[in-house]
Amino acid sequence: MEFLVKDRSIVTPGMAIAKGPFRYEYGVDKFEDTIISSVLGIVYIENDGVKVVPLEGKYMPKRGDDVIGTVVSINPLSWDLDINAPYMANLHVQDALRYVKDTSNLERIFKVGDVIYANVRDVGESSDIVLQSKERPYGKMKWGRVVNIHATRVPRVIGKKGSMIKLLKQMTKCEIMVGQNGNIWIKGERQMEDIVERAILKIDREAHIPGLTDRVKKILETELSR
Amino acid sequence: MEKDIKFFTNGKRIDGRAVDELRNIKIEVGVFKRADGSSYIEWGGNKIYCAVYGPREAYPRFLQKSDRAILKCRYNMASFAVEERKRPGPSRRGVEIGKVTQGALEPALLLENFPKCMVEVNIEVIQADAGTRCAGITAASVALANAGIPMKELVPACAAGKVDDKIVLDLCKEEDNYGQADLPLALLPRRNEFSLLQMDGDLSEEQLEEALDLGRKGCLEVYEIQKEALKKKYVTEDVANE
Repeated sequence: MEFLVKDRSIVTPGMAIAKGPFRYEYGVDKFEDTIISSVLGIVYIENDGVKVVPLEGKYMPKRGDDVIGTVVSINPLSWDLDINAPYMANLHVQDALRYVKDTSNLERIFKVGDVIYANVRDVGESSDIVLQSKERPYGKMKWGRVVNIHATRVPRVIGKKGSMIKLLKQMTKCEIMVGQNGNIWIKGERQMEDIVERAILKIDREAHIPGLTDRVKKILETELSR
Repeated sequence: MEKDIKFFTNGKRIDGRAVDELRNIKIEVGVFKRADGSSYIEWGGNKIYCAVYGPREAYPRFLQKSDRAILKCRYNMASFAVEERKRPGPSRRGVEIGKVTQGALEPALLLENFPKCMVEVNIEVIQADAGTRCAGITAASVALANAGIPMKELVPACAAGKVDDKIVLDLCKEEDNYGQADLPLALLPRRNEFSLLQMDGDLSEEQLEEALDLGRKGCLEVYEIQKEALKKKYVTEDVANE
């Protein structure tokens, strides 16, 4: 058992991380007795486990994720949503609302272009994504705007124990919903929405640099005092 | 196509390099906003852009593989990339290089993570100066890493060849055109396997062995440059904010 890189260093695909019997999570691959990185990312070494958190890459849906998607097409009994994954997501009428009186015209419920906050109910064997939006926080997002960032950087927008998102909400009085897929919905005053959008895009650009919350706070303070 | 050229003066080559020396290589990562991953490479006089899209749903539908993603590679040369105007659009040569690029990159990618998808690699040669397929594969591999596509390792590529009965690394334009053999290689460094091996010209068995060894050494040098380029993107951003 030996480590070949430092904890929290940037690794490129194919780089050797550790030798020996290690428990390994995602972002790594095994070659003979060496554990190598399979993505461009940052290594985390903890309790004799190794993982690489990717810096780039598309969103891959997992069961239980909350996502924000846009309706792209309407089928006889379901909608197809674009959630920035490699595959289309499917939202069935039964999973969309608690009571559906009339399924003859789905366009009356969700139109093409509507933004929907939903939960990933299941990801099938052949990667088909089933969504659900029955309970309270889920459903159509009225007004507001959607900002898209890298899905790999969403945890930064939330921050440790939600510190970053709390900061954004408190300082700008905006409603913010974060989808695991990198879509972030913001609603508030026009200027405030602009500020939040700029802050989020800054987080996206500088996600891998430490001290992010302080920098974002500074930016928000200078922008709000204007 | 042999021409009376003095390939060596005082043990140095036409452009002043040693026998086992590469040309200057510079790689930039993430040059395009719309692409999922992109890179730009300057390899001697070669200037090549590479953009990667995907993984996304594979079209046309019948190309979809139910257990893994497909890799599509397109190689294109700008009409002004070479000395004489190249007729724009796909050509026999372009299709061939696209095909061998796909073959060179595919064994390194973990495509089974994305069933029914496709990954598109677009290689655009803006200026050509011998060895574009190797430079293209090198750039494409970096762009794929920049797109976050999981892979076993990066794929560096480099050519070896024979000029004046001597084995040399990374042929320049004159050596490529008037030399005796050209041997483009792509290496999977950890596995120590070649994923691209083409040959244009004649080499004896011993010479081939020698060229492979030299090419392997060149590829490993390119590999270091690739890794540096990928890391540099994040480190420079770091410094810019301090």
